[in-house]
Parts: sequence; C-alpha cells; structure tokens
Amino acid sequence: MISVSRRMSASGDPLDALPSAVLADVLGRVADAGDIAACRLASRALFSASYQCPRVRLCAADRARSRLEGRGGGGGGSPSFRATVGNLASLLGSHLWSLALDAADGQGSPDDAMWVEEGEFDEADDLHLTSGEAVAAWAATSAGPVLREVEIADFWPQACWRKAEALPLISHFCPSLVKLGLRKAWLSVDGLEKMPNLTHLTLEFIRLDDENLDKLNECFPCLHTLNLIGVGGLKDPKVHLPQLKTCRWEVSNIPGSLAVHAPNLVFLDLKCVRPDRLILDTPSLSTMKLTIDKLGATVQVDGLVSLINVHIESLDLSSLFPVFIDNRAISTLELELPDSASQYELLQEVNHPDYLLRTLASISEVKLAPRFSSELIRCLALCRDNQFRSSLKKLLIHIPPSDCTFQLLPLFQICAPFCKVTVLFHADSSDDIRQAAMPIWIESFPEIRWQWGPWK
Amino acid sequence: MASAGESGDGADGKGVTTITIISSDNEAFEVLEAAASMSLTIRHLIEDGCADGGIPLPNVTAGILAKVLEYCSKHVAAVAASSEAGSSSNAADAAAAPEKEEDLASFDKAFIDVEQDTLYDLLMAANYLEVKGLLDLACQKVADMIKGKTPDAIRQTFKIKNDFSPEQEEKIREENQWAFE
Repeated sequence: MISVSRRMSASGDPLDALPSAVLADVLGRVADAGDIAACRLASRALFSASYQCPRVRLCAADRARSRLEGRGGGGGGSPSFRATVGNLASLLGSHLWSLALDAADGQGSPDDAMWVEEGEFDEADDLHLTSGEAVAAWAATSAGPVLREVEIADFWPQACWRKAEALPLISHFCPSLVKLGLRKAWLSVDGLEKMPNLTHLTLEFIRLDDENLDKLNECFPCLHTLNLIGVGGLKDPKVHLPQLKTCRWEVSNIPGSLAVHAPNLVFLDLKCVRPDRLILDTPSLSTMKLTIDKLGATVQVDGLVSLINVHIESLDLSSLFPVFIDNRAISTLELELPDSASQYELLQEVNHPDYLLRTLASISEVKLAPRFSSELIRCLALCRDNQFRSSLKKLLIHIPPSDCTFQLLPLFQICAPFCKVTVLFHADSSDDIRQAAMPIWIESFPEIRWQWGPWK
Repeated sequence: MASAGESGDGADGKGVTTITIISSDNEAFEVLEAAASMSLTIRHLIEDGCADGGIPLPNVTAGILAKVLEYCSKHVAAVAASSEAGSSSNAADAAAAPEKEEDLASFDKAFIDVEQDTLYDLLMAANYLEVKGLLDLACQKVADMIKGKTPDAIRQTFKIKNDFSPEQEEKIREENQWAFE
C-alpha cells in the first residue's frame, strides 16, 4: 500500500469530512475498477478509502478499450487481466466481499464444448478465468475466506475446449461464499467440497461434468435460489435440494428426463423441449412458468397441491391442461404460444375450442399474451357453448392489428359479472377499428369493467 | 413536525407513541416513535430509557434532522400501508402495492436530489444515526455522481483541489495499472 500523507485542507477535498467507511461503501457501489482507479487519482479521501473497497467489478473488454484509448496504464509492462485480478484481491484482502469478473465473448453451445470448430477456439489462456491458475490467483489470497459474492463470465473461445477447476477451487478457498455465478465455461466437479453457506447459484451457458447433478446436490445443500440456464453435459438431471425456494432451469433437448425434488420450492421457471420424463416433487410450489414443446409420456406431478399461478408457453395444451390446470385451484393463468407456432396450429391442437373457453372460465385471472391472443381469436368463431359457470374476474388480451374485434364476443361472454377486462390494441391498428368496437362491447357487456391500452 | 412536546402516549389521541428529538441548535421535533426508531442510534437510546425529556443529538443540526425525520416518517408510513395491504383481503389494496412502491421510489429520488453540502450532511447524519435506508440512498447518489467520470471530472463535480504531487500521482497510476486497470 502506498503511503500518501493527507493534508486536512478545509477546501482541498470536501470528501475528507466523510468517514472512510462511508466512502468505501460509495466506492463499492461504483464497483467498476476503472472508475475506482479514476477516484483514486481524483481525491485523497477516495484514494485512502479505496483500500477498503468491498465490491469490485473488472471487465476485460473495458480494460482493453481504455488501454486503446490511452486512458489506462498501457504498454507491454502491464500485467495480464488474470494477474490484475490476483493483485487486486491481494491489495483489498479481507475488505473485499464481492468480486465480479467479465471476459465474456464468443458463441457456441455448451453441449458442443468439445467439438468447437477449428478457428472458433483460442489456445491462449490469458482470459481463461475459470482455470485453476486464474481462480487461485485471487481465491488463495486473504480475500478468499471473506468473499461472499463471486461472479465470473469466462471467455468462451478459451474456456469452451478445456475443463476448468473453478468450482472445486472456489469451494476450497471461499467457504463464506453466499452467492456464486459462473457463465460461459466448461466446469469439472472433481474435488468439489461442500459449501454450506452458499444460498444462490447461477450457472449460465456452462458445460457441467455432473451429468445427473449429484455433486451439485451434495455440495450445495443449502441453496435457496438455483439458476441453471443453458447448462449442458446433463443426462438425467435431478435437482434435489431441501431448502430450495426459487429455481430457473433452461435445458436443451438432450436430457431424457428432468426431476425436481424440492419440498420448499415456491417458484419454478422451467424451459425445456421434450423430456421423456418430468418429475416435479414440489409440494410448496405456488408459481410455475413452463415453456415446453411437448410433454413426454411420464409425468409425475401429483404433489403440486399448492399450485395457484401458472404461466404456460406451449402448443401442447391438450397434454398440459389436464396435468397442470384441470381439477386444480389455479387462480392465475398466463398463456403464450411458441415463436415457431404457425397460424391455425392452436386450432388443430385444441380439437374443441369450447374446452379452451371452459378452462379459461374456471380461472379467476387470465392473461393472454400476443401470439396466443391472436390464435385464440381464430378459434372463437367455432365456439358454440358458453353456458357454464364462470370464475373469470380479470382478463387481459392482446388484439392483433387486423380487424377481428367482432370475433371476441364469445370470449367476453364467459366473463363473470364485474370482470375487469383489459384490452390492449396493437399500436398499428386503426383508430376506426378501436372506436367502432369499444362502444359495442361496452353496450353488450354492461357489467364488465373495461380498461384499454396499446401494445407493440 | 417542529413542535416542542414531551414524549408520551397518544399525542393525537389514537394511542400512538411520539418522542421528542432535539437538534444541536436546540430545536425540538416531535415524531412518531416508529419513525424515530428507523434510526438504530435513537432506537437504542429509547430502549435504554434515555428518551424522557427528549433525545439530544449534538451532531445533527435542525435543518438536516428535519430532512432525516421526513425520510423516516415517509418510509415508516409506507411500511405500515404495505402491511395493511398484505393482510387485507381487498384485491384493490393488493393491486395498489406496486404503485405505492413506485411512489416511494419517486419520493426517494426527489428527496436525495439536493445540493452537495446537504448531501454530505445527510450522509454524515445517516451514518451517525444508523438509518440504513437513507445511508444506502445517499451513498448510491454519490456513487452515481462518480460513475464514468475521469479524475478531472470527478474533481470538478465535487470541487476537489488536486493536491497530489507529480510523484504521488505517478505512484498511484502505477498501482492502478497493477491492480485496477
């Protein structure tokens, strides 16, 4: 640490009057290493406080940019990005509790990590931040044991073709870690140690050598939040975490089965393709967002006794409704179709549009997203039966630009008395259509409370 | 708010407790105990039975104390309203919750949009009184004023005189290059 004497000048540095701990808090909110470097040159008070900065974010791209512009230290003598990170951790030591490193770039799929085309990968390792050497550079300093949050976004061309030891090393050197996020890497779990303080884990765009998530379940038993977004290398993954409350899981079509055993899980956002087996052993689950191409033959969801809010993005409604909606006390339902859905596919999928209307009428609050709204409107012309009890108290629909407003009548007929209906007209739809439709609806359904708005 | 009064029950006859806080320049403020207790410093004094006759704050002037108490009163009222909505079976109450959060965010944004001297005083007061939410708000404001600026621009913003010698500046640049850039 450099010793720089501080002259207490009344007008020299007004920040002098603020306690060092407060200025350190400020610098922790600034976080960007380049900005902190600027602060150190601008003010004695900030310079002194910088040694207690609790949170720093280093971005390789920003660093390269500032060097090109001549702002940062330049030249061949400057340390590599990985070395800089190690130096920073050594300098801040036990004051540092949050470290974010970003070297992200490149493209590719985690499942294809070993088969990256020649020319797409980089044999250098200066930006391979999840390698054992790179992690040890900062984790093995006095910062390691006190760090509570770490995020690393690796450089995919250097990370994709070699397995990295980031997870075992972090588990060894950073026992106090509460929040960990790793992106764009191929990760080994050999030697992974238990991390009982870790409550938040995000793995994004990762090839993970833990095909059924056995090691993850064993070594991170206290997770409350788990985000597995684009994690490849999985075969029959099972999330088995007793304290999990929130889970976001986005998985490719490679795993044959998916299972979640989490007695305290309340929120699940699951994006999958066509798993042969789907097991949700989640008795506390109250909110589920499900994006799926097709539900497989084996579905075990008997334990979903607490489910009340459901968001489905799928065409496979004839499979999904009986499993997740029928005979359950669902109070909020949001529906959307996949991007890939073509015109009339919903009509083909749902043999009896009346069933669709009957299902919507059984729910207290329904939100129909744009693509679903558009296709539902096509189905409504074939609806015959609207004589059933309705629980529908709140409805939101997106009207496409075309003039289809007269087709909506069967949908409004299923609204319960005093239902609040929000109609969002597409921004490109003509004023004439809106102005013709609205009075007719208001007059035809005097008990409905209407709200209007645009969407695009 | 700036009225003299003794701590006691039911200043408004509704059974709520108020206490008196006295600024460094001897101005007395009567506030709800719940609002004052957003300050951990004041809360500990109340718990230790030091609130009788008023709580003196020799480090906080009337002008800044008024601002701090305004912040605390607003936030404690928002918490109370939010718990009522949470326990209410009225759907309108539940639906209004996000709007009320937005109101509070707007209040905070306007509240912290102050002159720099006032901002420093608020920082000092929030730190001394341990009002976490206000300290976070003020620190974030200062951080936002710093982000993306060069050293010269930071000095201009905060009216800092550059009194580093060229040698000191060079050493800082070297260390910056080694660990930050």
